[in-house]
This record gives sequence, structure tokens and C-alpha cells, in this order.
Amino acid sequence: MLIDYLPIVFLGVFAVLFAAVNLSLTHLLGPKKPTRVKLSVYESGVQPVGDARQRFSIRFDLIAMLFIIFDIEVVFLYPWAVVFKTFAENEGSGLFILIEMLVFIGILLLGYIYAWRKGGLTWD
Amino acid sequence: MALQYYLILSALLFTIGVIGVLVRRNAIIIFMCIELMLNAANLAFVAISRNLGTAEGQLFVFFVMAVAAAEVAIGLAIIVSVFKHRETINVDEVNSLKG
Amino acid sequence: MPLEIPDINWSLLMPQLVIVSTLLIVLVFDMFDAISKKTLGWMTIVGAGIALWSSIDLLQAGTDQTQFNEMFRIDSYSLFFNIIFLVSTILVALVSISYLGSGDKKQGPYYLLILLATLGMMLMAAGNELIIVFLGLELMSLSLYVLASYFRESPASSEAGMKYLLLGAFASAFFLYGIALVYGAAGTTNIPEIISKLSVGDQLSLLSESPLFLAGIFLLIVGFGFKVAIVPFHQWAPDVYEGAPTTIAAFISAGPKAAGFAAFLTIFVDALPKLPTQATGVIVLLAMLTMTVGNVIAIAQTNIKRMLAYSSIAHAGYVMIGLAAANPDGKSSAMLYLFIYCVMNIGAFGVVIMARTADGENLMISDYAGLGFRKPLLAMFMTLMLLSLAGFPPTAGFVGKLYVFKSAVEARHYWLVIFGAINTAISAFYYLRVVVTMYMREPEEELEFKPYPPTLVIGLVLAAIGILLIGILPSLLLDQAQSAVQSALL
Repeated sequence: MLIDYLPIVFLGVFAVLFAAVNLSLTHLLGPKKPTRVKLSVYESGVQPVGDARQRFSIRFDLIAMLFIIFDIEVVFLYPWAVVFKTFAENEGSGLFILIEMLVFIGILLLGYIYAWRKGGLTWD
Repeated sequence: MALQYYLILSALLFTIGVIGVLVRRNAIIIFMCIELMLNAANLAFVAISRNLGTAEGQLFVFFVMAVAAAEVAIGLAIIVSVFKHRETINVDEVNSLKG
Repeated sequence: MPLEIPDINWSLLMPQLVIVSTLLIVLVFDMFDAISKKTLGWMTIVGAGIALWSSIDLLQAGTDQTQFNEMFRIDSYSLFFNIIFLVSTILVALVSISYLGSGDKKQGPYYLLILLATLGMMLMAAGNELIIVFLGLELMSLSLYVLASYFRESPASSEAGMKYLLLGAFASAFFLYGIALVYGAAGTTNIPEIISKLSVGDQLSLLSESPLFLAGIFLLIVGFGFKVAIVPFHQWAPDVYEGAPTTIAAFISAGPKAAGFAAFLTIFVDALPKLPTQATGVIVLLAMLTMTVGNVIAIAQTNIKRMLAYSSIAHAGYVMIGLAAANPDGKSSAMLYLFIYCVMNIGAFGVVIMARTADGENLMISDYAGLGFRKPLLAMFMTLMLLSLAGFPPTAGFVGKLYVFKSAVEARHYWLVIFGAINTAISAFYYLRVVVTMYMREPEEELEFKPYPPTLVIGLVLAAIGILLIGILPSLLLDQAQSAVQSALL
């Protein structure tokens, strides 16, 4: 029931309050002596060069798309893996669904080689 | 929880998607709204499937996700090729074909 | 839960398997640059030809079975549609071989995508389950979006692709949500099961009035409406046809429209009598709107591709008459009409490709002035295709219209028939205008046409023979369509 979640609500509220109180207290009570070095973006490290919001090369788009396409196919392996053991206990049917999955992956692999041969994976 | 809450939520998401497609003029945002519509349908599928106690609906979601990924890949490629020609993807400005 | 592998009869899946294997072979061969890309076109034709032959073979054997736990239906209905798709694919591939030329390196994906789209259409016609229909629809649509924007160097082609993509994906989302709602209301996505749940004995069941179900059905109509371009969901069609490569415009106007109707008919012809009467009213209204708007706007067009686009919208309206009739005759006449329409429309686009000059295509209707006597072969093909589209005897178009109207009379939709007849008269005006321009007008400037490519002429000759043969001996095809519908009833 919902009442069981009450401790979690308390925990959440307490965590937020604790953080808020501590942060505001240091902000109010702490001494402030700003210097130029302290105000720079990194106190130690590399100075930022240019704006972070710059355009990316359009080539990333192709790589990202290829990644998404092949990545999402993995989703079909999960239900297959769940039922594989049940099938494997039956005589013969385990081999059948293993071959089925190999055919599926084989077609994907063919598509991958196609993208490769057609230069989809080269940067220049 | 009852099925109707999920269906109402999915109907809301679907409506937001439809309104987005009709109101926004940037092709990529229109495309995102279409993805929202697909995901609204996914939510309905999962909720209904859970309610019926069958696995069918959840499997459909896998297929829909794969289809949506393919659609995104193709869609962005086409939008990029339009951008190369016109330097804009505002659907009101891409109108050389009268209609 | 016990899990079993369903018995799979691979021989029944021959047409689909042949297309898949052709696809993979074309994919592999496209990786080698040494092989002429024209071979890929011929491979496509041979593969589609084998699939066509095996479809006809299965059809004659009277196959009627389901596969994969009733997800997939191999009966004479789906096989008849297979024939429509494969004939369209072969004709389009024949026309494309010369259209693309031989030098271009980017030809491989073209044939791949055509084969993928064909496979999607076959899935749609064979789908016994809404989700299979959806997968087929997406496989087909995604391939077509790319094909529409295939000429990347042309801004018009990219724009056509983007418009098609955005509107098509929007429609797919509606379709999917419709499936979700129907699934929620009926508890299944198996089409025959849904239809049987609509009635208990002779009475209509509660499901047929459930708001969830009706909302789902409405969304399905919207989704299909976009895909087959019926008014008011037709706006994409003229732009896409104009901007896309002409061969692809021919392809989009033929097979995918037939595939959309294949699924539309499976679901609605049996379901309509069991739905509230308003549903039939909606279909009748859509049919009337589609015919009238398509034909009236076609009159005003000066670009021949746009004229053919509006004419194809109007033709979807005629098929809707068969759907609205919602009886076996309506179904078989709609199937017959779709077959004839595909052949004659690809033929008409083929002639547009034939009329190419060195600087590109001549798409204005005025460019056709004076061709009647200067280019007799081209003018003869064009005249035949347009007469058939207008529905003059002894062409196939006449036969198609006749049977569609007959089925509507049987269903007592007299208004629909009157509308159809008036629209046929309107359409004759703009089709004949092109014919008149060709034979009676003097050209403003002399156009130097490219020599006719042999494959294109072969494609057109085949289309012309088909149109005349069906026009003179309609029973060849009608019997097949009728028996296809009969077997589904048993």
C-alpha cells in the first residue's frame, strides 16, 4: 500500500532540507574574499577555449544513425534469450530457434558490411 | 492501478504530439512530436497488455521501437539533405512545389 | 506456459522468400563495383518474376492457409494482391533501368529499396494481424520516403521526400494508435477474431458500440486515408508525385496504393456491416469527396505529373465505392479495379518518361502539342493509357469502373453510382484534353526527344497488351478476383 512508502517520503524530504539548510547557511555565514583567480572558471586546470555550444560536424549524424539502427536490433535478442531455455529442453526445437537467431544476426551483419563497403564508417 | 489512468495519460501524450505536429514549423521538432505519438501508442500497448495478462502487447512495443529507430534514421537523413539545399528546415519556407 | 514452434510450411511462403533472397543477392552484388549496376535491375526483374510465377502457382492450387500462429494468411486474396504488387514492381523496374542510366554508382540502393517496399506490400496483404499490417506498412513507407528523395542533387526531390516523410510518419502514428485502441477494446489484434467478436449470433455485440473501439476504427480510417491518399488526407500526393523521380511517382501511385487498400479491404469490408451505420456513411462520404475533389482539381493542372496525381486521388475514390458496397462483389471489383489501375497508371507515367529531351523532362501539358503525328508511338501509348484511365471501352479502365458501379448498385448505394458516373464524365474532359493537345495543336517549339530506350518500350508494350486484353476479356481476371473473395467467405 501507499503507506509503506511513507519512510521514503520522509527520507526524501529530510535529504532536501538538509542540503538546502547547509547550503544557505554557508552562503549567509561564510566569509567572502573574491580575487581574480578565484573567479576564473577553473581554479586549476585549462582555460576554456571558445563556446561550448558550437556546431558538430554532420559526419557525427551518420555514425549516430548507424549506431541507433544496429543498437536497437539488440532488443529482439532479449525475448529470444528469455524463451531459449524453454525451447532448448524440447528435442530439436532448440536448434531451430538458434538457427533462426543466427539468420537474423546474419542479415544484420550483411547490412553492416554493406554500410562499411559503401563508406558509411569512414570519416573522410 | 486501473487501466483508464494509463490510457488517459497515453491519450494526453498523443494529443500533445498531434498539437505539436500541427503548431510547430521546425521539421525536426515536428519529427520529435511524431515520436511522442508513437510512444503514446507504446504506453497504451503495454498498459493494455498488462491488463489483459498477455505478452502480445509488450512484444508489439519492441517492433514499434525498432520501426521508430529506422524512421528516425531515415527522417534525419532526408531532413539533412533538405537543409543542404535550402539552409532551412522550416516547413513553411520549404515550398517550391506548389500545393 | 508451454511453448511450441508452429508448423511452418515454407513452400507457401515462396513469394515472400524469393523476394527476400533477391533482396539479399542484390545487396551482396551491389558491394562489388566491378558489376554493372544495370544487372541489379535485371536481377530485380527476374526475382520479382519468379515470385510472380510462384504466386500464380499457389493461387491456382487454391491455397488457403494461415502461417505463424495465424499471423500470416496465404489465401487467394493475398496471392491476388501479390500479383498486383509484383506486376507493378516488374513494370517499374523495366522503366527504371533506362531512366537511371548505366553510369551512376548510386543505383544499387534504388533496386534494394524497391524490393523492400514490395516485401512490405506483400506483408500488408498477407497480414492477418494488425501488427503485421503495421510492420508491412512501415517497411513499405520507409523505403518509399527514401525513394522519393532519391535524387539528392535535386531540391525538388529532397523536398518531396521530406513532405512525404512528415505526413506519412504522422499518419503511421495515427494508425498505430488506432491499433492500440482496437487492441484495448477487443483484447486481440487478430483481424478475423476482432470481426467475429463484433457480433454474437445475429445480434451486434457490445464491442461494436464501444467508444474505445469506434475511436480506434476512426483512427485506422485516418491512417489508411493518408496512405492511399483519399480526400481530405490527400495533400501530400501532388507534391510528392511532382518532386519525386518520375519512375518513383509511378511506383508510389501504383503498388503502395493497392497495398493500402488490401489491408483496408480486409478489415473494413467484413467489419462495416457490423458497425453502426454512421461508419458506412463516413466511407460513402469519403468516396464521394475523393472522386469529386480529385477530378475537379485535376482539370486546373498544367503539369502532367500533378494532373496524374489528382487523377490517382480520384481513382482511389472509385475503389472506395467498392469498399462502401461492403459485399463480396464490392471486394472483388475493388481488387480488379486496383489491378487495372496499377497497370494503366504506371503506363501513363512511363509515357511521361518517354517524352524526355536532352535537357530533362517535359512536364507541361502544352509540351505535348503536336506529338500525335511527329511521335506516333509515344502518342499512341499515351492515348491508350489516358482512354483507359478515363474508362472508355474497350479498355480495361471501362471494365474496372463497370464492375465497381455494379457492386454499388447491388448494395443500393445509388447516390454513389450517380456521383461516380458524373465524375467519370468530368475526368474524361481533362484526359481527352491531353489527347486533343497531342493531335490537334501545333507545337510552339520543336523538341528533340531522346531515342526511346528498349526496356521502356517493352514495359509500355506489356502494359498496353494488359489493358487491351483485360478490356476485351475481363473474365480472365475477374474470375480470379471473385474466386479469391469466395474462398475467403467459406
